[in-house]
Amino acid sequence: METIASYFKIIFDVGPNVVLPFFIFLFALALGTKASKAIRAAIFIAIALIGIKMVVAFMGDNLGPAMKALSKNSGLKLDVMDVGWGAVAAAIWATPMGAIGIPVLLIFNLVLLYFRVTKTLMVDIWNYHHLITAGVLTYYATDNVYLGFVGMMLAAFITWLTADWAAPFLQKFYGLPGISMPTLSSISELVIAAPINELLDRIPGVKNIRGNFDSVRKYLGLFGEPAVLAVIIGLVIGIMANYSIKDSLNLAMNLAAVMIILPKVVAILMEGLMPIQEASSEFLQKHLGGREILLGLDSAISIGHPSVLTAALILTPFVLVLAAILPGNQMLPFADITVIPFRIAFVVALVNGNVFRTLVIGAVVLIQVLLCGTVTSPVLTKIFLAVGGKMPEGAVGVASFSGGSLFVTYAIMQTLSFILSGVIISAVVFGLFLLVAKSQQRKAIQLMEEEEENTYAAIQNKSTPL
Amino acid sequence: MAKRVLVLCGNGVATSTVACKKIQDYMANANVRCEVIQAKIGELASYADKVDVIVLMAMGATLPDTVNTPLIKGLPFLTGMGLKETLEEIKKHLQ
Repeated sequence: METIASYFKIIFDVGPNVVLPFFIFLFALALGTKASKAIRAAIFIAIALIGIKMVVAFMGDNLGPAMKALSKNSGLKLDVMDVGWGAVAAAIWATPMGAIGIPVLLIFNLVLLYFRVTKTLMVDIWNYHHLITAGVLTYYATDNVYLGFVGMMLAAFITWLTADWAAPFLQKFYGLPGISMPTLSSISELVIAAPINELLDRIPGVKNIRGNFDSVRKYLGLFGEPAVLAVIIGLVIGIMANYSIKDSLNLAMNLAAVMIILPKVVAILMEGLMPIQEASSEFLQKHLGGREILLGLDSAISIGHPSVLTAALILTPFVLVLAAILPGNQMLPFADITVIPFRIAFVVALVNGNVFRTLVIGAVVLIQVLLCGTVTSPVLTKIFLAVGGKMPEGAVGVASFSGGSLFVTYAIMQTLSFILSGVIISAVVFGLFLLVAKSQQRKAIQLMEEEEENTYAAIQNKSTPL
Repeated sequence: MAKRVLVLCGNGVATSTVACKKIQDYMANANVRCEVIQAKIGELASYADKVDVIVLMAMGATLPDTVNTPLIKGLPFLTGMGLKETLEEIKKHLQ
């Protein structure tokens, strides 16, 4: 206990911009990466951490005062800033647990595969950050390192098992045989989606609605361009905050800059992690011992289905209005407004591309994201400040659409902190999910098979050559 | 002018970085001059007709009919299976 505490203290004293790269360097060497490559990786990690901090600070300088003016002039109390998942991931990687998380999860994955608890081999090291986030949030919420590790492994366990469960219909829908997608930011929503979808199956009338949303992309297409979207958001915030036209326009341009530059800086983090990603992937595949596996990849490979994009275009303006009117919400969505496709990509497969259902479930998911994000923001803010983040003037905290805003992460955090409301909500939602999981999985596959048969029959009838 | 390859993924951060890096390294070794552009799937319309080949990391996506640029699926960059063939195919479009 003593040693762990002093280890954590030393790391915070040296500073995350030095310590994480050092760990990455050692870890890369241990996995057999060449020293020159390992050094480069480590330096790039540091560059990314510094870069992300710079961009987030710039965002805070611009968005913070606007949020303050917004609450003064419009009465909207939206004082929790959405700094985006990349900033959260960077903060998490920079904590002492961030560095140790990767090897712990690698070994945990192999153990679960060995005992055939899961079939998912998560070679996508990048998205370990979601699992480690659950751990770090739990650690900061409970002030107990061991519970932190329990939280991290629980997140991994739930993610891999849910990925196994979802794999059959995701493979079929996206045409990806042999693959599962253990990305918590997309998996988490299925826990909510399955019970709601079961309910929609049972409501007469609603049951057969599919909806026609073909024109959506024509009219809302602009929302798909992050730069344009950021300008629109900036202008709306500026006007509602009673800014002058000049100030509103400047805010809009500065926010557009953040929206475009932030992902580019986060991509540097990925570049730094690549040698680790490759070496870990090799390490995992080597130690499998001929087990039947599903290759666990990033859910990014599922983004881009027309139904996902259509639903996301409608949900984007919706979440802004929702943030303003939802009781209990304090989060002002901004940096993560572009990740909505990730939150609904698996839902679309579950409902076989039905845009109406995706919208209904997506709306519930976004309500959950905003509320859980608000509730867990104080803990995240504590971490954000501990790794050297600066609290933006005018904001009381930070949040994102990731981290504690994901239902699974929220549930783990609250349950391990013994917060009664959280325990009850988690028990009910997971209970309902387990109850309908089997039938929902079967129905999702059945729907796709029926559609295939119909298409085949139609082709046969027309007897047009393929 | 160097030819251009556009790598598209869900949010232009993780999977597309892997593909970009591997394409850049491979082409540098093969002495093929090219420019690699990384973008989000939503930004496709702004780039589609300005590039010579598109590498799609998002498997569910379908490109609009108006786009005639050759399209290559980028899954091998993540699984490692058939990676060399995919890189060779990209190279053909860039020479």
